[in-house]
Amino acid sequence: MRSIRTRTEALVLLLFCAACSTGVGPPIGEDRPGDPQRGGVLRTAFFTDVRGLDAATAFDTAASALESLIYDGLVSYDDQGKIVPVLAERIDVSPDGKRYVFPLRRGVTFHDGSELTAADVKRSMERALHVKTPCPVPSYYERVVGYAAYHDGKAEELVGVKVEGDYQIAIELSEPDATFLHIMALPIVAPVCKSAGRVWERTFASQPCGAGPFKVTRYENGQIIKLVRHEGYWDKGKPYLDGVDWYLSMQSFTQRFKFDQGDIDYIRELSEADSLLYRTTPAWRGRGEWEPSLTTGGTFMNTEMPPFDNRHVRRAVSYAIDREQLAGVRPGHVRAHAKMVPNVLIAPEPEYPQQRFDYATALEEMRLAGYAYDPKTGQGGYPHEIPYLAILDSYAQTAAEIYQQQLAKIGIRIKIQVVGWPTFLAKTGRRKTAQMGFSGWHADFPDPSTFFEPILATKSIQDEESQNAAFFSNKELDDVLDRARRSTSTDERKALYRRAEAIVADEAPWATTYTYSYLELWHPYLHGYRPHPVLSQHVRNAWIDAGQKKLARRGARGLPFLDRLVQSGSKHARTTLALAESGGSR
Amino acid sequence: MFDPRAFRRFKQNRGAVFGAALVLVLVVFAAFGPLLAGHDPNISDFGGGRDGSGALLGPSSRHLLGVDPLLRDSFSRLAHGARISLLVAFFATTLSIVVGAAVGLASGYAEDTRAAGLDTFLMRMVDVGLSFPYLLLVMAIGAAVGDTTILTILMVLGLTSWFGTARIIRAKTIQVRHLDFIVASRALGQTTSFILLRHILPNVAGPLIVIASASVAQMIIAESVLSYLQVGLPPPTATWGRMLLEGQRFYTVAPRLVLAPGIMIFLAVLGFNLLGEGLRDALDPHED
Repeated sequence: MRSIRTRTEALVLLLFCAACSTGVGPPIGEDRPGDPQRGGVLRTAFFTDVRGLDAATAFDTAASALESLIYDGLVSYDDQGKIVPVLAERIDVSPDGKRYVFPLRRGVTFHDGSELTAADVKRSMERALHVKTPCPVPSYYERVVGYAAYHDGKAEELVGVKVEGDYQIAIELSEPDATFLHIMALPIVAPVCKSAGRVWERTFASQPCGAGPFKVTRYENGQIIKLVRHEGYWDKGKPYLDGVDWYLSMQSFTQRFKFDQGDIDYIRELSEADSLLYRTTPAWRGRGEWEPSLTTGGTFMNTEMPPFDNRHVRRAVSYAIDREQLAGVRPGHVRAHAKMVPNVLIAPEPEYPQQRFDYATALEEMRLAGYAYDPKTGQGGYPHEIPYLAILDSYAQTAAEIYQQQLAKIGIRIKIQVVGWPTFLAKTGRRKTAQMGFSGWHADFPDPSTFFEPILATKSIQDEESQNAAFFSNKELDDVLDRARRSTSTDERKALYRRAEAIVADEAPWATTYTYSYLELWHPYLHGYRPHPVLSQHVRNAWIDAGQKKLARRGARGLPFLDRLVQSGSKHARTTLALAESGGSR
Repeated sequence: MFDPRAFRRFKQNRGAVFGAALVLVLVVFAAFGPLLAGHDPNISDFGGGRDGSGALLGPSSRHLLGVDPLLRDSFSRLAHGARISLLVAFFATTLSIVVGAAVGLASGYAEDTRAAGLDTFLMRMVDVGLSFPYLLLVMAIGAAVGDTTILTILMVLGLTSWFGTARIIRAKTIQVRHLDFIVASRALGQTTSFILLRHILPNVAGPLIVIASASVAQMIIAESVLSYLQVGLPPPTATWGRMLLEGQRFYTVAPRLVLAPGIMIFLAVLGFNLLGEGLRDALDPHED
């Protein structure tokens, strides 16, 4: 009797340990190079919700990934990140760089079956830039002739966009713009169906209709967005997938186990512990890739609200944050970063202007601001608690807890408010609403201008849906950015953006603190995907080896628990943790 | 009021004694644990939170239970979490019991009298309250309140959990109200409030104590659920639910981060449930 009890206890303990220290499952399927196959549904997930898919207004990273499947623009990027025509047959530029002509492809149809014409391109641009449309970055298009009059509601049409017959559109600029083709690649100005109307309406966000390879068949907030192939897509034979199921608001923890079981095919939002588990598991060695880090993270300070209307307080915050400590809690994924433009776009050089950690200077800035703080007695500092907006289940929340500790040392007490993504965007975009919070920016296109104009230029301030969460306005910065946009000289532009960095470092509307990289993984039965140099989660050319997936899943699901028993073990887990925390295998 | 037979019955019940011991240990842990930890639960140990290989520091002399993903002392957070759990659970239960008893007494005493309308009104209110899924209601209020503090959490929990108590106390009150000594009190001209407080309340105290004990366990779970779902106390406040949430990402490599708060919740709920059952058995005269 006793031995049975002992054995039972031992078994329970074994099962418990196995469940506690589970490894990761093997990749499903094999790499079998071959011709792309049509069919299959790709399943993946976001940890955030998506609050709308209207090309003209939804501009965050999550929405953009889906929009790149739903909408095609006149131009886009090839696999190397170079601009190529898509709905346009070619791009003709005048010698002075002020007139662009786009002859359109024939036979392009929208999801509703109607044919794309030049009038649709003009209507879509006018809709996006209409005064009533809460487009987050209309100022990108300010060099289009007639923009100001049209956007202010003083003109009926955007005169710089000219319909030249059914299949040719010409766009005239008031002055050359080094970023013009990049901004034409954004989904904001992608042609939308006639059902979208001439003026923005809220309902279109959940019933989007474009000319891209997939169309939306189901949109449930916080649950799932289902896309199916657009059978009338102009690029015959594409897309390969029958559809894409994109789950929403799914924690990274859940995503990882679903991926492990083959219930999602591709994953990007792995936690640091899980990403290292995969990297250190022999079966996964050499698989997956890091997404190019085109992201800058930090904290914004609303310059229209106290105490951040005081420049010294902002500077105090930027000096008080020890960025290495931020990186230390997420080795591998997070790297200390103290400037606006990521290193991928402008490599760091000696003396490059950037912010830095300097505790003594931070205290001095607090004194200059009139909020002197004595660290020995804890007396002084800013007398009120400051709400800090962070996003649910993200690194922003972790970073906020570290800022909280660091800022307390200079007499700034912050109270963290964790909110969902849509609430975060709504609050930070509304004037005089959010004092301080997470700020992060992913490049809209591979050019330094995207890290300043949409988020720190005066023209990017709006009463609602403002991307300039700091509501920062600085005349010199505006001038520098304008000159950089006009310039066609690489050296001059570089110098100007260097000056822009210096202004931001000095005025500190943002405390720039880190860059974040994602490790992307997909099962071997998924082909045709790898991280794109510009477009995040660009899965439109992916295809699924159905046979491999079916066979492999049957095998993988057969004895998953025994697999775990074999793979698990505290020694393995400890070794992996050590590697994970040191970030050594990156 | 003290019944030596009830105490004897309680002592003979091993489960009840075990439950009481667990509760006692928990209270001692909550009271003195934070002092023993010697670390601030909200301050990261950036200098010493990692071992030689760079991994999160496990149990060691520097940090008894190791550190969490933000390099904070796990033991200290566990002990502060115990304080919050017990604080919220005790006060929310008190609130719930006071409101539930008041409504139950008033309703039961008014039943079948000229004030029957009050009984009907209160009981329909209870019906409405009971028709909502409890945790969903708490979560919705928690999310709506937004700016959460310990006070708002215990108010939300306390004010949404008295419905069942009111029902039971009403039934018991109706039973007691018709006994001869109550009729005699009324005949002697004693006031309603005197009768309710001096005669009826002591007679419904037994069920109230049992409900309270079970309710504390329920409150501990509810508070943990709210924290786990991030509608409870904001970060960095250490609560067991939040520790579970923060540790789950590391469950594959550092299971202690999930096991520690998980086991604490398990033991606390077990302790209060065993205590409640023991009290029920001890206070039930039919057993003797």
